[in-house]
Amino acid sequence: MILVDGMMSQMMEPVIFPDPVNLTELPPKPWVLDGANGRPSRIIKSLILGTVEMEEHNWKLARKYETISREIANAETYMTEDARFVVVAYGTAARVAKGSIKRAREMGLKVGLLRPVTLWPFPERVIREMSRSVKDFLVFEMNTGQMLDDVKLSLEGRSNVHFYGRPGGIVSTPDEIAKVISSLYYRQHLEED
Amino acid sequence: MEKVVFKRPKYIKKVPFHYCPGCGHSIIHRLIAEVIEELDIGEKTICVPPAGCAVLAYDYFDIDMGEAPHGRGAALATGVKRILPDKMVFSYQGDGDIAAIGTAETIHAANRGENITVIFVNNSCYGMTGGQMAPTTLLGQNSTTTPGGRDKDRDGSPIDLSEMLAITKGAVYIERTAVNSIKNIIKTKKAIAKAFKVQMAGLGFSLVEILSPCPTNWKMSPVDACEWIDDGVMQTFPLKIVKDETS
Ligand SMILES: Cc1ncc(C[n+]2csc(CCOP(=O)(O)OP(=O)(O)O)c2C)c(N)n1
Ligand code: SF4
Ligand SMILES: [Mg+2]
Repeated sequence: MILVDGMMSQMMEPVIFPDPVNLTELPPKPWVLDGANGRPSRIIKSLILGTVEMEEHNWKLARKYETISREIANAETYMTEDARFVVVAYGTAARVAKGSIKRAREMGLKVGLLRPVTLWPFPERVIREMSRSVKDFLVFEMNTGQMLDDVKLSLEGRSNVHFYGRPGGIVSTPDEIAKVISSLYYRQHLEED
Repeated sequence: MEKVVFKRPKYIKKVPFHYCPGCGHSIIHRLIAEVIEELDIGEKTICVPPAGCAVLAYDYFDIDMGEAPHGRGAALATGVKRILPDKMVFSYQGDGDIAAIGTAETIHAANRGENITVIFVNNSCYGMTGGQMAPTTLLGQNSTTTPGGRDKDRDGSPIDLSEMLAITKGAVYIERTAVNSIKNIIKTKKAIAKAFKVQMAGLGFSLVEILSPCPTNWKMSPVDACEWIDDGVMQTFPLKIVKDETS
């Protein structure tokens, strides 16, 4: 499932399409319903009524989710190599945060961005590893804190978690977030070595 | 010499049905399977079963079966038919499925004149979930959600989906039949065959609404349920060819 926010339908920008998929190389479809001509009839269904079969199926889904969590949980990092303060933001908020991080860098603050590309599974390992060098994270969202608990659970108290968010209505500007960043930065005395 | 006069239809699997005694779904399954056999289309037919008591049709028909989400039979059938226009595609839907959660999909499929067939089994209640009021429940009819009877002011009046569909330009053939007597069963089979032939001729949207007994939720014996279709259900939903633009 792709999580989109309202901004996505209101903006335009150039994109580069990936190479087209070669449709002649698709895997065979032994499940397709095209009439049971010369083969046994097939069923495509989502309903599982037997309790034993249902539990088996749910375990199968749980194992699938574990694999997915390991393999596709993913986050983009931006200017985090030397960062002492990291903003965690996704979607449109991450774009706004990038602008604010550029401004903060111009002010000489060592700030980076961590943008979860997948929210479920949440890229908890990336955040946890980052907590070795980063002691202050700012969760910035365009809501009142839907990702906040995920970040706190990933960090398990290893670093401080700050929050800034506004519910739908006015979209925060890079300047606004740069001010939030710098005030927290100095309050936490991160400018000191 | 022995002559076989009655047998299990070719396209019904050798498994016991779960339907209650006296349930109309069993009869309707047989009629559809007989028509498929007689038209010799079993190897090119795809059925879309519903959410409802008849969801398990996927275990009973020996043809390709693709379960639809509740109410979306006509939408799913549209997709299959458009990809495979040479196949026979029909959805099998209850009254709760088609006339409540699936109303929008059904009306637009009919209006677009999708070349599919819908078998609409009207037993005037939500059978599978335990006999709640459906849009088709009769005024005064008891259901678990209308104890004391459906009330026009509180619950609205029964909806005649077939008549609603008939006013769409794309609907070609719509007939309402019943399976409460031998005579009506024979007529129902003819209507199903006609609807399938409409599709085979590429004429457009066809639908057969079948008044069907649900003795369990009506809290009647199978015999009384069949009689109540005559005395009660048909007073609101009279048997008729609702629309026929085939000739
Ligand atoms: C989206 C969704 N909502 C609700 C249900 C629960 N449900 C299963 S069958 C059914 C009603 C079926 O009634 P009808 O279509 O009249 O079929 P019948 O069982 O009477 O033949 C409902 C509400 C479901 N399966 N999916
Ligand atoms: S509950 Fe009604 S519709 Fe469902 S199987 Fe029993 S009689 Fe048939
Ligand atoms: Mg029903």
